[in-house]
Amino acid sequence: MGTEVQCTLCPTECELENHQVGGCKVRINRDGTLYSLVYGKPCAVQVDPIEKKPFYHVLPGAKAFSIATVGCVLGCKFCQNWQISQALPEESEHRDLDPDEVVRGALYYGCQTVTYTYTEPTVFYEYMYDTALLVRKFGLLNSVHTCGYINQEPLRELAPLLNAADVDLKAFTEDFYGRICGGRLKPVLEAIVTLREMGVWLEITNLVIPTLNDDPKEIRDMCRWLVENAGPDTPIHFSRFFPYYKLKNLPPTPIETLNMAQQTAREAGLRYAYIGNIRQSGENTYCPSCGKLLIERIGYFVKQNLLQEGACPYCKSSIAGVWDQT
Amino acid sequence: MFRLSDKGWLRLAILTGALLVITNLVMNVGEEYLRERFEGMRRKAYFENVISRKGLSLKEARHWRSVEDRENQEAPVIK
Repeated sequence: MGTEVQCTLCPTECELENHQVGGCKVRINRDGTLYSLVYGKPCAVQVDPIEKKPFYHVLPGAKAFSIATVGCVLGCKFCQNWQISQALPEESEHRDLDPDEVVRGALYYGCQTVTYTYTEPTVFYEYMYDTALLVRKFGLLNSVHTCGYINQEPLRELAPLLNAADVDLKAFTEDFYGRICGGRLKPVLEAIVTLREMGVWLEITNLVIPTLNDDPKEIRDMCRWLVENAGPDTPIHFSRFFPYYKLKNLPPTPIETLNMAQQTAREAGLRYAYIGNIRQSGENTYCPSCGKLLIERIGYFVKQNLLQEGACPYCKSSIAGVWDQT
Repeated sequence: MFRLSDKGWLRLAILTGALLVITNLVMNVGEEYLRERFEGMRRKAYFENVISRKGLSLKEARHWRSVEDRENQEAPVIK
């Protein structure tokens, strides 16, 4: 026949017959060639504060020109953006926005970074890659919020164009990834290590879901692994779960659980542990050396930023992050 | 009233049984082939009537390979 192809972009590696669409819903085999259905067709275009991604150690207060197309490489039952991540491109509304128009939009709105986010950017890899090339040329930053479920070869090609990546580490067990997300943990851990090795600024987000991934031992193991493999300066965001999509039977994450996770991360050696999706002091950045407040946040907005050239103004300790655009 | 001798009933039973066996065999053999063909036709029709009319892009994707190529590459080398 000769028309069967295998997509090698994500670890699912779909084998597609003619006219068959991959599990991500946006890549199709047509007569033996694989095509992207969503190149230049974002379903979401928005200017957000970079804290919303969340990036807490990248240009605090910066505006992020954020784009996403429909589709996802995973099928998490708790997806908070399932209306677009699980949608079909032929049934969704989209805009026509070529990579050069993305850059033009980012410059027009005074954004310092273009962020590939909301759904899983891996599914619009070609669009992201071409846009990232242009973004670099115009002196802006590229940042991505990803689940990290991508094969090594495409990741290594993309990473030199990326300045920052926020990886959703959804849990620390293969069982959770298999049962709840329809994927595997190992490729995500490998992606984290690769991003770190290739010099991309890394932040981790962990959505804490009651009864599914809130075991203190699992959180401790995850944090210890991050300290060893991504470094103690890697910020981690423990995000509050709200019952959406297929997990409406669970309650929102109790505040005590989020506090426990933050404390566990600190005890494991992570210097910057945050709590997200909830308004409280867990959103602020404190100096790990002297404990003084450095960046005060209210929701997605920076109330005050006391950092001086990336260092604590009190004890002069250097604070890891991307603090300027150069 | 339609009447058959015992021999006639026997012949009819054998014929019916044989027909059932042959039908079952043909269905088993043909099912895979036909299902694949119908599925392929359904996908093609969906692509032509729905996807291609939506104005979506058909940008050649990166990171893929022909399954035949892969199978050839992975085949053991016989010297």
